[in-house]
Amino acid sequence: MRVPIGWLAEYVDVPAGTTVEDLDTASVRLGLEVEEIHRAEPVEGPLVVGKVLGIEELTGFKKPIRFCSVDVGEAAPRGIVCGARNFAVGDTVVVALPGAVLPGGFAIASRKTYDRISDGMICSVRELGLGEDHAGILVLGSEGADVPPPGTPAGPVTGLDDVVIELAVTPDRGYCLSMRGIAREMGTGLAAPWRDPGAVTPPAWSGAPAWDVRVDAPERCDRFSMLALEGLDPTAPSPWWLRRRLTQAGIRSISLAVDVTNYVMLELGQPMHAFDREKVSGPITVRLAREGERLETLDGSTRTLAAGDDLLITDDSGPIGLAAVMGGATTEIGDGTTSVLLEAAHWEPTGVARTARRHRLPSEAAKRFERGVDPELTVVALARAAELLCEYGGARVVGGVVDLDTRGPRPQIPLDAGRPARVAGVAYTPGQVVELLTAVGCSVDGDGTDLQVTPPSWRPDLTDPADLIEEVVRLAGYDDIPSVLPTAPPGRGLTDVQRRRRAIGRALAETGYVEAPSYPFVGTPALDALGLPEDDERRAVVLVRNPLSEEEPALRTTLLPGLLATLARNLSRGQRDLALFEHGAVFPGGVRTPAPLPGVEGRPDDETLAALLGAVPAQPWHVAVALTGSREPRGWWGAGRAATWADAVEAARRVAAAAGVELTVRAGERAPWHPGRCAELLVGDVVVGHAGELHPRVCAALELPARTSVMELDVDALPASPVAVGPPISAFPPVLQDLALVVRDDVPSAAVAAALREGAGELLESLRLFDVYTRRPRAGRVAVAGVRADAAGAGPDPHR
Amino acid sequence: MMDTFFVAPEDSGLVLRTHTSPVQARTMLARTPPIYVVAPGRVYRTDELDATHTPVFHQVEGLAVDRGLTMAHLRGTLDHLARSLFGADAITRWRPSYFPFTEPSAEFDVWFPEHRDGPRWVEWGGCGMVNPRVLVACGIDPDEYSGFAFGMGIERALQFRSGVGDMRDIVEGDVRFTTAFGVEQ
Repeated sequence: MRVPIGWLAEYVDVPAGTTVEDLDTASVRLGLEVEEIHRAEPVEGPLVVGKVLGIEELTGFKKPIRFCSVDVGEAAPRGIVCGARNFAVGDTVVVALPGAVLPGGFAIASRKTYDRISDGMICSVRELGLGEDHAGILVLGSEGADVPPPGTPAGPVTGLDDVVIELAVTPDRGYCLSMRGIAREMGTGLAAPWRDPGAVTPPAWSGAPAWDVRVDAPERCDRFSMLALEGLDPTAPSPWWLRRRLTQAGIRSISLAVDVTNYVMLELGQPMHAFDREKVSGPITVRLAREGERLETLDGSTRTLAAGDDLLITDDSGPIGLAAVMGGATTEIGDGTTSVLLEAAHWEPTGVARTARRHRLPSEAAKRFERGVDPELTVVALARAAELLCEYGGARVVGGVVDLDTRGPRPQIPLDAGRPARVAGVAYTPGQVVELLTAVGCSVDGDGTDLQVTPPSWRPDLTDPADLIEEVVRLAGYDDIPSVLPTAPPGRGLTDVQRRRRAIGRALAETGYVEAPSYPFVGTPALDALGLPEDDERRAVVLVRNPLSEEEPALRTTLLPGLLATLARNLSRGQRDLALFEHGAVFPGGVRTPAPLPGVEGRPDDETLAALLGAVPAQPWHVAVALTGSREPRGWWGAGRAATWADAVEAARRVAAAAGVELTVRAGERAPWHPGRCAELLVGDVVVGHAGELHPRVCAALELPARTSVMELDVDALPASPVAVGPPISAFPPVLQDLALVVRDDVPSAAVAAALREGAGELLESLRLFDVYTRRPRAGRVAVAGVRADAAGAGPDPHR
Repeated sequence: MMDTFFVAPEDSGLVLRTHTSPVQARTMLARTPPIYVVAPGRVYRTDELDATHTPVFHQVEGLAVDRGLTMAHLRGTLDHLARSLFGADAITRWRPSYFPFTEPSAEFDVWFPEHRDGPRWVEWGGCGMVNPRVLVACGIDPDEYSGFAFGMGIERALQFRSGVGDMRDIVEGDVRFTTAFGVEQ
């Protein structure tokens, strides 16, 4: 909401000496966030009101030119050359005299042009920096209009000196989308006298109601009012002050009738619509749309209406308006409209919101109706619009007002006057509570502490005691609330799951992995690049209906696409040696039941709650690493060591150790790993993840270095860590034994180790592979593995 | 919210959470007061990535439900958090605002002398007293208990606490950026 201070001052007696900064502070304290303060670029030097006394048409030039005689309040008129043609003798205009500097550094001087001496310039709206209008010069008024005399400084007249405060209005306070609402707030906030432009009694128009109207959907429209006018001069321009205020509000001036409806909306907060009365045929019915109905709206697009939900204004021809959102093209006010039918109604907010979303029409009217409009004001707004159309367009009201009003009484809200103090921790007195609620516009009954509060008609958001308490605390000021640290009871600390996740992250980080969380959005190309088979379960995804990118419409089922993209990004930025990790949720697809929508009247029953939680897909927590380049750098100590798939397996072991479980490893096969360089990670018999080298095709597809190694593991699949059992420590000295075994090269080391463990039995303390030697014999390939075992000396003959 | 990601199909009844408040609801449904919890987590909004926005970011929320909690306790908690994060001289300020789940509601700013561009007020987060209707929907008696809640964006706080000019640096996973922060700092 853009609030011109000059306009605000018409309703609020702003205390002398109040600065724009004071208004800014007051707005913020009231909960009206100041988004921006707009000031027109200043005009320096003499800028005055002038009256055109004579026009001499100059011919013989490339375009028609006028040489005007303009009274600028001096002894003699000045001669000024002007290229615009939208004015006549008697018009009042704005003149920049020699010495003035217009916005953009445009200096005005007396100069010879078109064979005449031009002694100043008649200005357009754009030249003054007031708007974009440059179709002609700015005419403040014609002969006889109520305009300041020639020579008056034009700054205040044009609103050049005015400052516009742009406020962000929260959705609960629709009444602040009008000067009326802002005046109330600022009057209260500045403790200044103010007057309500809505507090007027409309005239008692005589005669039969102006139109035959029926409302078939009273639950969506509890008040519908109309007034008819005739004899409107279709060429009558909107007065300058009105156009100026629309411009300040960011609304384009169109014609007097349309401008007036927009102006009344800004002034009172009541959106209105003007129909060309000649184009409305037969009685008007307000009803829900029917199957197959279409409407061409004022913006020129033809809209298919949602049967049973879009609310329409219809006549014998069918729909003529999308209620509360936008009018229809067939009854639009045109260049020749002399007879208008004004509509001001009160619409149910959620229905308006649905229609505005469905048709993507967040119009100024819809914005207000969604947030709540004062239903008391329909006829007041009609009267105000009629007054302006009569005064500036020569129109007259015909017939009486239509006013279909089916509103019920507003219920009272019980409020314990001590409650605001208990919520805020500030000792408000009951008298203060009543005073502040009255300032909001509530009427308060009851004495002592049991209050019955009736909120004002413009505050549909006030429905609960809590809403009233908020108003009391807000108007008393949040700055009064003291700072008291509560004494919290002892907490539970982190859960086992939380502690395990932190331990895993810390373990990897302390091993040199850098955490790189990525967005969880993926698309089919990313899954293809990993070489996942068609039937891979990771291709069953959860889809987002409105993804940011059509290429990535799904939620990830594996951490690898995001992690490898981050790896590639770092490589492209010049890194060579990288070890990254990510841990986070993945979102496997699958069949789900829709979530029920429980009520909010109480705690949902256990069955509903279970259905609700069951509708959310499982989101297992994964951890993944990716490595490339050197794992250990080259230096004076040696040649360094390239990262290999063994590092990826080692990362998995670190994760398992941090989680307190034992991991076993065996050869596996799974995309995107290289067959033969892929380890399956198990806890007991359960496969929890994989580690190894990426398939060369995957490296090529993702433009990653060859032998990039990755690991991904399902942390949620890891069992709870068992209670550790203290091993018996032998009193005998240990025996070290190196074993060399000749095996086929397709026997994994894990199998050799398992065989040795089994054979050694309880005496074995530890076992590790310390060397591998391979060669090609005449038949088949063999590998010689050197295995070193530490056996506890458990008896007299450890070699038995 | 207008900037919500919706999960297919249309009748799924699921969205990607736009704030961490569902944790508040889950906590109140699972436990009985007194409740004092802090919930950090990932949230999603349909904003394009730019210098100040990211569609995936983190929030941290606090919720307290107990007998006799007031806005003064909320302010005390926020002041304490401000001093812990931004130094002993940090102070907070409230502006009235609107959230459907709190009543009264406020947005709050923090002022701290160590700001990289000099001491100043910075918008920090939102807070308020838990709307009694929220307590009722979670099976908690609003006549016996009251609660307060607050929340803020972690990336945003990181931006102004650590002088990070561009949100993209936080989300792109450039190791040069991340390693500057060490482990669990």
